[in-house]
Amino acid sequence: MEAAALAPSLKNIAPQQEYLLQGSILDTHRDVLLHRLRGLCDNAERNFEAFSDYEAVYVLRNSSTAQQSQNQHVTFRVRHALDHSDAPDHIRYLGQAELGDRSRHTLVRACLDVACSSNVRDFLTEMGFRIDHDYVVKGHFFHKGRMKVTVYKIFRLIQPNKTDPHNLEPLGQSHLVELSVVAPLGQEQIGEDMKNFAEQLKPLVLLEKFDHRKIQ
Amino acid sequence: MQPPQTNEEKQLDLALDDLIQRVRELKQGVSSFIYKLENDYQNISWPNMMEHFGVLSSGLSSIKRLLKTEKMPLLRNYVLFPILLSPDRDPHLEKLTEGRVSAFNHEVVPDYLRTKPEPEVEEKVQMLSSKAASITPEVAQKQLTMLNKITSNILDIINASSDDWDKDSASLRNALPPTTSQQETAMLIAAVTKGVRLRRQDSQGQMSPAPQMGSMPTQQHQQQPLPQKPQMPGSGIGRVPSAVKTNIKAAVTSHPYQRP
Amino acid sequence: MAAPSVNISVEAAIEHQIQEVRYDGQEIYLAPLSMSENLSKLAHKIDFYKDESEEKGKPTSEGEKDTDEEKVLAPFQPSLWPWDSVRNKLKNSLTEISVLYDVLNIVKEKHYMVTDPVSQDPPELKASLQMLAKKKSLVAAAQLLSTGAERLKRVQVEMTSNTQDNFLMELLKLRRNWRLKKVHNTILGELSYKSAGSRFWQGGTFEVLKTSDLAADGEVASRKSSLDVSIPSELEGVAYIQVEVKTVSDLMDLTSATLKMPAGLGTVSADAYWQQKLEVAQNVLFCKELFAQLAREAVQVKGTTPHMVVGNQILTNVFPGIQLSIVLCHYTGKEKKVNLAPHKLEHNHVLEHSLHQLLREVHDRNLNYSPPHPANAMLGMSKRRRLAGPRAMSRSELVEMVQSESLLEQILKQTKHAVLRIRTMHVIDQLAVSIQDPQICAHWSCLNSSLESSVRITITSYCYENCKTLLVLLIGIDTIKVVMKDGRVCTLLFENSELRDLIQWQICQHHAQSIQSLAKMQGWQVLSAIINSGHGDMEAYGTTTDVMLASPKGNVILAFHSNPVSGNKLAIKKLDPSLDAHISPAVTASKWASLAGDFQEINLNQLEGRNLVGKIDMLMARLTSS
Repeated sequence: MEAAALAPSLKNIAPQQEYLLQGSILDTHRDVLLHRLRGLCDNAERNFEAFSDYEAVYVLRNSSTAQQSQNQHVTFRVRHALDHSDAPDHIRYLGQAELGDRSRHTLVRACLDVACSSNVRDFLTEMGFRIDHDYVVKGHFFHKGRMKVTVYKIFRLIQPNKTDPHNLEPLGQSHLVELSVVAPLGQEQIGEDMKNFAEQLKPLVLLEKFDHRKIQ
Repeated sequence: MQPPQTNEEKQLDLALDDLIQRVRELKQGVSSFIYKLENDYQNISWPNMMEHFGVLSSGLSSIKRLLKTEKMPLLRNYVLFPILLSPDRDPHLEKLTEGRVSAFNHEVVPDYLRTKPEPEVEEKVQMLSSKAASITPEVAQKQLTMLNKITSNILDIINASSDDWDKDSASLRNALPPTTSQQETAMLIAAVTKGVRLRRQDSQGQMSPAPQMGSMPTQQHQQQPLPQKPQMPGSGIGRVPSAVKTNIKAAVTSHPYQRP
Repeated sequence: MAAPSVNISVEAAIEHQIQEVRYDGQEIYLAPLSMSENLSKLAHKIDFYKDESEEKGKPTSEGEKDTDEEKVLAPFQPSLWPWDSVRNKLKNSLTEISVLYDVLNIVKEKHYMVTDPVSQDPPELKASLQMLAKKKSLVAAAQLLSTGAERLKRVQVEMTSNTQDNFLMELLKLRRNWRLKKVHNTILGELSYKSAGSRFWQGGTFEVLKTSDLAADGEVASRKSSLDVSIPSELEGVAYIQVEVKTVSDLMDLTSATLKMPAGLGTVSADAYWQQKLEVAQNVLFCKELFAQLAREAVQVKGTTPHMVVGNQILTNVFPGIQLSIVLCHYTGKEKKVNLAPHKLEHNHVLEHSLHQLLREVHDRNLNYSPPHPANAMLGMSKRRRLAGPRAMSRSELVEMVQSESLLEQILKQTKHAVLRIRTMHVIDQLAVSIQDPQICAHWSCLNSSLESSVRITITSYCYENCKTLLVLLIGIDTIKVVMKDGRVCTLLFENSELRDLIQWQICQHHAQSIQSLAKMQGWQVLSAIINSGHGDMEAYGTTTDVMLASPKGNVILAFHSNPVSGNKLAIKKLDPSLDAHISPAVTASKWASLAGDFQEINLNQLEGRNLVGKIDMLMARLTSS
């Protein structure tokens, strides 16, 4: 439904897909995982690459059909790095995650990712988007080839619009672990590679294709 | 065919059915082993091989057990008696024997009803019996009790250590603490994808602005003790739950209507 | 079917086969087989066995015993097949069990065969026989177990007794430095640079072997290590990249493009320690990758002068007459010992090192992207590239960002710089040797890069060091930037003569300047000083510097003339006091009236003094008082 709303504009852009596997690690075991990842990934000789991002999710609801279906909306995610002030903001659109059949090893969802200037929030607000929720993620980043691994903690903002450490409240007692590749559609080899990589993290973390429809 | 079946015959029939089934299983075991050996021997592994042998040996012992049960009549006391020899092909027979015997004729029957064991086996039995004849029954009896004692001893030892082994491996498996939690995964993914538990109640814009304005200062007021634990997100992993708790309380008390 | 052809019957001859001859001589005939029966009979003779599975494809004809059939079967590649005896035993038991199964089934049917109860004596219990049989089988089983235990024990003892020679310890050491993985029963290692960012097609898989396995019976295994590695044949031997900068008369010297194999490099001996073997093999792989990369670039890059790839050699022009040759030398030890004539090696170690460094940089770039911030940004972009969108960069800026230099271009630049630097050094050294007066002194900066270096040249005259001329040369890739004493900057090209001219010209100026400073000290007056004067005869190159001086009394005028080609000249003119009378109103002093007129040349060689400046100093001192 979301995709349908965006379809005409998407047609002109090479469709990128995000292949995704997700899991989580308890905070107490995070360091074990980080060291394991450091050994497995490409940037082994460097120190852990930390990141700290703020993400705000904007929603545009279709007012005319709001009564009949809640699903008629478009979501954009705006993210910027808190620890790198010179890095640009990013706006991201994510499609509905497809589970696929058994032969497919990962979730696949449409993914549009564009760097933009910092006034994108104002722009979205002007267009009628409203902020739905926001959060801060802090964690570490690894890569192996084109696979990206992020291990991060999600923080709720206690007061809106303030991202200083006192205003953050961690969500749960685990770090979220994501293994993702952004690539054009139809590259089945990626799923295979990702599955093999995920196998190597067992039993520390179970990276699976998590059915997003189960979320209520 | 013969309506008046005696009890004995009935029992024999049942026993035969059982026996046939067991034999069929054993036969399948052997043939699948041969198939594996001939067609897939590159991939055969040692545990695999042992597994096949295990299947065969359990098949054999189950047949043996069956023969010893009380329900099984003493087959020794039955002779097989061919009543009809016919040179004609019998499709029913053929089907019954999976194509091995297509006619029950004079050529097949002697082979099938052979009672003499294989020459190799016969030789072995001969050797053993000659040896057995050379020792006196008393000595044999003594040796027998000895052997029984030794074997039962060994069996005990083996059982005991295998129990230990099982226990060890079981405890080892349990020793690994869980490093991941399905519920946490679900919760975090829900938060990241759908904003569950991240969405602000007052940010929807549906609420009237008045309580919003009112709640802001009170919230700030409630949060004043917060700076006392500034390193909370970084280091205090163990204290996370308590932080959540206090926060919920803060949110509750910040509600304007609860204030006296 | 064609009509006129003769029909051939495929039926069997109609003849009744004899089935049985009775005791009374009567023969019982079998009815002749029908067509279909005949066909099925023939079909039975075909051995379907090879294609079909054991159970289904077993063709049994009447009266044929299963065991007979087993013998007909060809044994299953007995030599290749370790399971032969097991299979034969299994076959036998399959036969027996099939018979049992059939008999049971037939009895069950009660059509052909029935069971008949008879009374029999209970079988005598042969306890001793059973016991013996059991004992025997127990012994067999116990033997198996104890040999296994024995083997385990032996391994254990080996482990603890000599840790030095131990295969497992060696394997552990190997594992610390190299990537290993187990595939079935072999241990494979990886020595390629793939995990370090290389994208070279050729793999570097090696196999780990246990030497005790290899040292077969009889051979005395006195090896140092119990672990050996087998390296793929294409990575055997020793390799290196030979880089040579040559002076050639022609533009391209093809005759030199031959395989040159220095004899000095030995091969690795077969029983070298595995670490050394692996390192050498890894180096071979690296050199191969480097050369492949360079060769590809040489073909792709469209330079002003084409690069040439001939066999294992890449030739390219650095400057006219100077050639860079990069040769992949791979000595496997299998080549015949020919062409080992002592070839003069002008191997440039610095450039070889640079090449290695450049490729490693490429590897590093392949592996280490700039980390994305925020974390969900695209992977593999540079930081600048990420900002391109938000900053609205122009197309030209983007194009500029994309461009990168190839390895060959980079090494060519380094070579150019190296050549230019050496040339500059030679020019300065030659001049310093050939020109004694004044002294030329060069200070090379110790801080330089592979693409830039600098030198400061000081020109002084002995005993008159307070007057010096300074030059700074910045040597770049193919130009030299010269900063002169007065701050003027000029750019020279790569030709030697340009620099030589410049320095000689600077020497002339140095003389003129020294003389001017002498004049200041002795109270003489400088009438004119021209750095580049057009006076005098036409010279081959360079320009003349002129200085004219008047003595304090104004009665002597000296003219100094310095030219890089014709040398220094000094002329003198003594004023005639009688001329004073003719002073025109425009001339304020008598010395101005004597600018023209007859000068007499002084033979500088016969003047006293250590050097030119000293000589002129003496002369001026003498003339001052006269």
